[in-house]
Amino acid sequence: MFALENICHGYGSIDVLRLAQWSVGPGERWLILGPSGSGKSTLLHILAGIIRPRTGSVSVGGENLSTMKPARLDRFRGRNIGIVFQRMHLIPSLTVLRNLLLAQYLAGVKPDPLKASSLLDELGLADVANRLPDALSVGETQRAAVARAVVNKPRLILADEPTSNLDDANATAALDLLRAQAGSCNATLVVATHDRRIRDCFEHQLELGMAT
Amino acid sequence: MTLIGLSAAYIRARALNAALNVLLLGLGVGTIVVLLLFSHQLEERLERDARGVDLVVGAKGSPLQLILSSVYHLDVPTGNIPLADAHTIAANPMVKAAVPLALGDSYLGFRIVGTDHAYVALYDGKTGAGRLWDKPFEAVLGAEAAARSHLRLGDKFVGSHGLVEGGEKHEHSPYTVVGILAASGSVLDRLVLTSVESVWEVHGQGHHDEDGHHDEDGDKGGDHAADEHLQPQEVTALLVQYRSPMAAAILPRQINAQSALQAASPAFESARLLSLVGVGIDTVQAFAVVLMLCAGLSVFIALYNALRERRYDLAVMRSLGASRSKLLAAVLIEGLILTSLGVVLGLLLGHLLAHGLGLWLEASQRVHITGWTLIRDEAALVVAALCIGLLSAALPAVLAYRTDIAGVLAKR
Repeated sequence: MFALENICHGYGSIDVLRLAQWSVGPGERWLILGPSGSGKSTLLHILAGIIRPRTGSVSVGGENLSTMKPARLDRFRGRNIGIVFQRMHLIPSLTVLRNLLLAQYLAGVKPDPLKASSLLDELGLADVANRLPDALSVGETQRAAVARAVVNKPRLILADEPTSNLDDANATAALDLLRAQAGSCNATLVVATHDRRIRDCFEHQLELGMAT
Repeated sequence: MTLIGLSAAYIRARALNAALNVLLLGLGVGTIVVLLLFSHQLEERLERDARGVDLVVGAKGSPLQLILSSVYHLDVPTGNIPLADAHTIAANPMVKAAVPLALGDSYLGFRIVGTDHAYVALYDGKTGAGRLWDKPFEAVLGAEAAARSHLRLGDKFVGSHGLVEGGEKHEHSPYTVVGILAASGSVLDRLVLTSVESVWEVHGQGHHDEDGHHDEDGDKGGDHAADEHLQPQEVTALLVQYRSPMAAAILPRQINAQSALQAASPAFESARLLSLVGVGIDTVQAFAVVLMLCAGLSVFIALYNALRERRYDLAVMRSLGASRSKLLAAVLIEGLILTSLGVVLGLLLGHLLAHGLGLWLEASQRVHITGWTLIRDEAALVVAALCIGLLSAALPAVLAYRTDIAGVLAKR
């Protein structure tokens, strides 16, 4: 699904991330573990094409992100990569449904309210589809954020600390949801976390240490 | 879901702030629209009513007053001049045409003007019904005078002394309506036309019959021709057309040299009038421009602050696949939506206000101003306002364009 080679990235003169080689096959589920500051988020951002590493090459789905033009990279990300942020971050001025429609529009997909609604339905969010994110519970927000990440049927789902702000029950539910959605999209799932509660749920793990 | 929908949602989320911006811009644009409509229509009106009149000859006094009274029929006359002098001027080889005017009475506030048929021709007036006057005490009504007075062909009416309603009535000499003019959009619409002789006769008789009464009433009739009643063999003013442009250099000087007469140019005096009024217009206009600039600044501050709050939104949108230029466009669109709403509000406000003021002025039967017209300058105003909107959105848009997604997302 993707392959990284000789990645080195840092801010200023400090290296935060060094990774000689990492390749992941389609449909695999990976956990990136490591303490804060070990470069987990940076690695996810590199995978998503949000940042270009200082050195090394990144290819996702056979496409070389390192050489892609910025606008094309943005479109590629919108179409093929779904991201769940630690703080979920739905757009607060838009209803849950319109957050999904926005994700379709920004990815260059024709907004399809029917498809978005049926996804919300599937995740038990039909009742809150027309509410603003502020009016949702933590669990609902979590599901809405996952819904937005998978609405374009991405080939790669990236989740950055999806469980660290949740209690045990919600954490388990969130993780189950991510895995189920990854399964239904046939997507590769990569979760970055320092949350030890969930480490046993993944067959593949990448342990990041401090780079320096 | 489109960029416009996204921008609209952001505006709705800060509705009060947006309303304030729209109102500010609306007030600025509206004020300028009112000024544009007024000055444009006023100038047009002044120009049309003075068309074909190169020079006005009347009694000594203020030249502006002479023009206002004889061309625009807005002021009281400066006095009267002997008919013999008028004839001398009309016979001057430099004069192509001369139209006498005898003023002094009115009907329901519409001035009764004693003149000849050339006066109607001056404004391309056409009879809508009946014919022009031939004999004394036959009268032709302007379109508006006819509509307001509800007089019809064959009806009789008596003029009242002075130029406003409420003067003493000349019961002894009624006029008969023989014609009604089609609306011409000129000063003719608000006049009652008759022959010079009719006006002479009214005052000749009136003067003999009620001499004492008039003198007691001297102060009250202050709006009458400088308190002088029009005597037979006098006219109030003479409208002159030059035979050649050369005359403009010679004739006024010749006339002004005579002790009893003065000559005034409508073009010059109305330009002077507009420059006097213009100072006021310029001041209000400058104020309105400041208002518009403030609105622009306010839009800028609103977008700038909103953008700081939305840094995370922008980063998330980028990660959802939005290109930099899409975010730039979204912010510009937001600024444009706000400005467009302000412009629309301003145009509405301006035209409504102009209409209201027009109605109010119409009630005083002075000037016709309508709000239901569009003028070319408004297009320039709209473009200028939209430019202000774009400019004030430009910097926030560039900031949105430059959002460092990873940096924002990494902040916990």
